[in-house]
Amino acid sequence: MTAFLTLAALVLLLLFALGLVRMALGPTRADRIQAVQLSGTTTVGILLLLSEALAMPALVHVALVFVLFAALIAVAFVRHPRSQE
Amino acid sequence: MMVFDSLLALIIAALAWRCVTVRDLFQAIVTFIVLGLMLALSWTRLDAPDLALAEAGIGAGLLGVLLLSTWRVVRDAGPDQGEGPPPSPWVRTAAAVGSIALGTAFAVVLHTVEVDSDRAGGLALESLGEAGVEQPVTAVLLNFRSYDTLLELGVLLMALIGAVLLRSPLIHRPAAEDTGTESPLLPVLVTVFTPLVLLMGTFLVWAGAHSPGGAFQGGAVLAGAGVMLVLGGRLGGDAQVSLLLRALLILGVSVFTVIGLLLMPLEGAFMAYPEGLVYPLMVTIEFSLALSIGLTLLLLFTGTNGLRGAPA
Amino acid sequence: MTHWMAALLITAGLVFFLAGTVGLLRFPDAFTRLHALTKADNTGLGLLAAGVAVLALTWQLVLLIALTWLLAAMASSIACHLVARHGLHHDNHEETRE
Repeated sequence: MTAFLTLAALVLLLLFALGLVRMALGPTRADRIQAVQLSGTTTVGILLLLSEALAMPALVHVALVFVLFAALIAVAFVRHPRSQE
Repeated sequence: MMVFDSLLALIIAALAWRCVTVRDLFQAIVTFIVLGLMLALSWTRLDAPDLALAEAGIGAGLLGVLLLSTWRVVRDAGPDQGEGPPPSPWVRTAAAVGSIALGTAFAVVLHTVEVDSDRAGGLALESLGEAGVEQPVTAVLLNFRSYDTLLELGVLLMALIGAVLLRSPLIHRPAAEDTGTESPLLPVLVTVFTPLVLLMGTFLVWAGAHSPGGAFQGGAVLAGAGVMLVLGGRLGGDAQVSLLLRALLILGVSVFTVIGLLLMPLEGAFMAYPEGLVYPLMVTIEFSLALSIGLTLLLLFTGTNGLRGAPA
Repeated sequence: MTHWMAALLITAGLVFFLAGTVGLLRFPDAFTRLHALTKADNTGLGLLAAGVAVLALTWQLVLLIALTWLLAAMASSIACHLVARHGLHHDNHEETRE
């Protein structure tokens, strides 16, 4: 089973590399941010697979942190930090 | 696994290269964020989930958000903000040669260092029973090597003071551009995610005693919750500092030092903890550290010395 | 038995990830690409998480994996809306300023 999980993680990593092409091509910023979102999801997938393959349950925590910060990055893309003087 | 690691290394190298060479600032930032994702993965492959958490929270997460926000502010300020003429080829060549020389020197020096068969690491693992916590990294950070952690916190505070002194007036402009065009779902995201991020941060601090996590990772995630509120417009930077905020900022350093000093007469050494009390002391220290770290990082993001709730 | 189920779920998840990535590369503009993206995010990660959860040893871990997927699905759908809306209003003139 470990071999299968590792293989699946490898496939995801390959897809990640493919998705980077869109990040480099653009053409708009929305495209690039979308590529980042997809690569974030792919990384979460890889982490879930590795947590089982390497028997490291803590990797699920790392995946969860990534999910939360991916949302934050999307918000940062569309919003200004505001402050009042 | 070999193929996986090789591909990972290749992607990291390619991303790092592109991050430095790409001309467009936005692309460089986006590449940097993705590079953070891959670095976190490589830390997990190196058996260091603690660092993967730190990289996820600080490297890819907080830093990515900070860079994106800075980019927006700089772009909106107009095209000629800080755009000097590009340095001459001579300067660039000199910089490249200098960097290569420095890197080579470091490589040579590090190569000649005699590694004493990992003695410190072995010692730490052997005496883990006395540390009060099961997680080796937390034991080293808060017990065996607590001086270092205390000084790191001092550095973080210094960084904040520097950032507040240097703060750019740009960040204080109201954002007119966003109004009316943004998604009505944004408040939903902020409302639902902020408590969850807070919970996750607290959990990571708590989990530091027995699994990867701890004050730094938890603090970074706590700061993430604050950043979410700032971006959602519910919290803003302020020039006024409240006493409470100041107290929270130095809470970590003070609790760390006070506990270390109070127990000195009992244990005979600074920052030595009595046998039975180690665990509760560690948790107290860890939570106060995390609060201070989180707040410091949040203030580094807003670039102000205070915070206040935004008017609705 | 559980192994086969997990393998099946994970493979199905990978297919969705593949579809999402190909869509991201091949679809003509940012708005159709969003469509590809959400497939990978929601269904792909969902199937993959289900596959890993089948193999998980403790129920705490299963809940944690489920939470990860739930939050990812929610975050990605809202993030897509934010990005699309932003693109609709700003992107036409943004990239030309370089």
